Formats: sequence, structure tokens, C-alpha cells
Amino acid sequence: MSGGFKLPIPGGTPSPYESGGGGDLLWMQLTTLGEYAFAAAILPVLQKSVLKYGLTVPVDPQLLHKAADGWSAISGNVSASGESMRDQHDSVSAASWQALDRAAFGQKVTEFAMGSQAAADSAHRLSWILRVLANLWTAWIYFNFATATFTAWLALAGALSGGGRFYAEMQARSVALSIEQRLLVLRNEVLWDLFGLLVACGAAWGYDKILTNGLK
Amino acid sequence: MLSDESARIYDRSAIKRLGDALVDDTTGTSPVSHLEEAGVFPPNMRLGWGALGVVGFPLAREHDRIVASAERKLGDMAQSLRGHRDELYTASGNVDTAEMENTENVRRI
Repeated sequence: MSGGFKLPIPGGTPSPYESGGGGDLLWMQLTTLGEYAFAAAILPVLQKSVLKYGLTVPVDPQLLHKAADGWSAISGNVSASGESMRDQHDSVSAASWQALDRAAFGQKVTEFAMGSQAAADSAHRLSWILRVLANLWTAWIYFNFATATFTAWLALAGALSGGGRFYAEMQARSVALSIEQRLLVLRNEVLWDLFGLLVACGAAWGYDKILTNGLK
Repeated sequence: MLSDESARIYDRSAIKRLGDALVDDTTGTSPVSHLEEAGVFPPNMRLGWGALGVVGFPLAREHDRIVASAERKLGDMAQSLRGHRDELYTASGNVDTAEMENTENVRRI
């Protein structure tokens, strides 16, 4: 149930069988977004970061962990179902049932056991993918929270004291970019995100076609 | 592989018992009870739209579709086990019928 590595998340990861739960990282994501927005207000060259991060909000790794736990439980149960059918069939000895229809039924038992193993394998793969995805997203949230806090702090310190290498460089780049150029940068960012969306569609398509055969 | 000429053994009660064992859910260890345990999907297993942000929504949507199809698949598997139980009952019933007719034939002769 709780198998697999989980990057720690405040509030933990609730069991998939409990209702509610999740969403404990939302405040961190909104704070991150706020910090990027604050930094971008002082240094317009950072607007790109606001857009880039904004498109990944909201993300809930707890839901992903929950789904991964769920798939893992399903995988175990489906596999156990096939095995117990095979065991029960084998427990009827040839001294009690020996005929052509026994051989035909044995064939069905084998088919069922193979089908349930395929379904269990698919569920296991899904569980693994969701676990990796959940940990990557958690790392992404923490990383951006740290970066945004640092950036906002540097921008604020620079604006107050008017110094600092980071501030000077970012301010110089902000001044150098005209409004049109800044819009161009944002447009390129949107295009990249659309490309990311296409990649996600492709991944979803592949995920469905290649990894879930046993579940159809 | 058995040929038509080889001995056929039918213990009707054993065949019926196998059929019952496939769907019995009192002990929780039968194939159907395992499936039903799996088939009761965790209530929050569907990710919904907000789980992967704007850029990840195709994945979240596809995942939820897979959950729906897996639910159907597990239901079908449980149904097929019930079908197997019925087949075993029929097989056992056929033996009963054959024996009855055999006895009648013998009596007539």
C-alpha cells in the first residue's frame, strides 16, 4: 500500500482508501507564484518565470501518490486472483475429474491466469510511473519555492539598497529589452509551453497504447 | 491430451465444489473475492483536472480514462469467473443427466 519512495510532503500522503486529503502543497505553489510575480514587478525581465511556473500550477503530488498506491493494491489483488484460480483448479485431482472437458477448462484457467497477470503488470507499471511523476513534481515545487524565495529576496534587497550584482544585471537586461522584445520573449515561452502540452499529449497517448494493454 | 477412449472420471461434487470455490467470498481468498477487493477502486483514485497543472492535464485526463476502463475490465473478469462457475455446474449437471438416462436404458433393457 505505502510501498515506493516518496519525497516527504507536509501532511503526508493519505491512503487512497481515505476520502478527501491532498492539496497540502498548494500554499507553497501559490507563495512561489507570488514571489516570482513580486520579483517580476521589480525586474520585468523575470516575467517569463511567472508565466513558466504559473502554467504548472496547481499540481498535487499527493493525488499522484494516492493513485500510485491504488494501482499497486490493484496489481496485487488481480495477480492473486489469477493465482488462486490456478491453485483451486490444480487442487481438484485427476482422480476426481479426468475428461476432455477438464482439459478445456484447464485451458480457460490458464487464459484467465495469463490475463490477470497482464492486468497486474499494467497496473504495476502505472503505479511506478505515477510514483516517479509524483516525486519529480514534488522536487519541482520545492526547487521553485527555493529559487523564487531567493530571487524575490535579491530583487527586494537590490531595490532597497540599489546594489548587488544580480540586481544590476537583471535591471540592465530589463532596461535593454523593449516592450515588444519582452512580449516576444513571453510569446516564445507560451510556444514552448504549447510544445510541452503536445509532448504531454503524446506521452498520454503512448501511456495508454503501450502500457495498459492488460487493463483493456 | 485425453482421447475419447480413455477413462473418464467425473466426481460431480468435486466439480461443483470447484465452481463454488471460484466465486465464494466468505474466506476472501477466492479469485472473485480478490477481484472484488481490487474492483472496489479507491475513492480518490481519479486525478481530476488539478493534479498535474495546466501542462499536464492530458496525462491526468488519460489516467482517469484508464481508471474507468480498468474498472470495467475487472468487472468483466469477475463476470467471466461467474460464467466459469455456471459452466462447471452445467458439466456436472450433464453427467447427472447422462447417468439418469443410462440407468433408464439399463432398466428398459
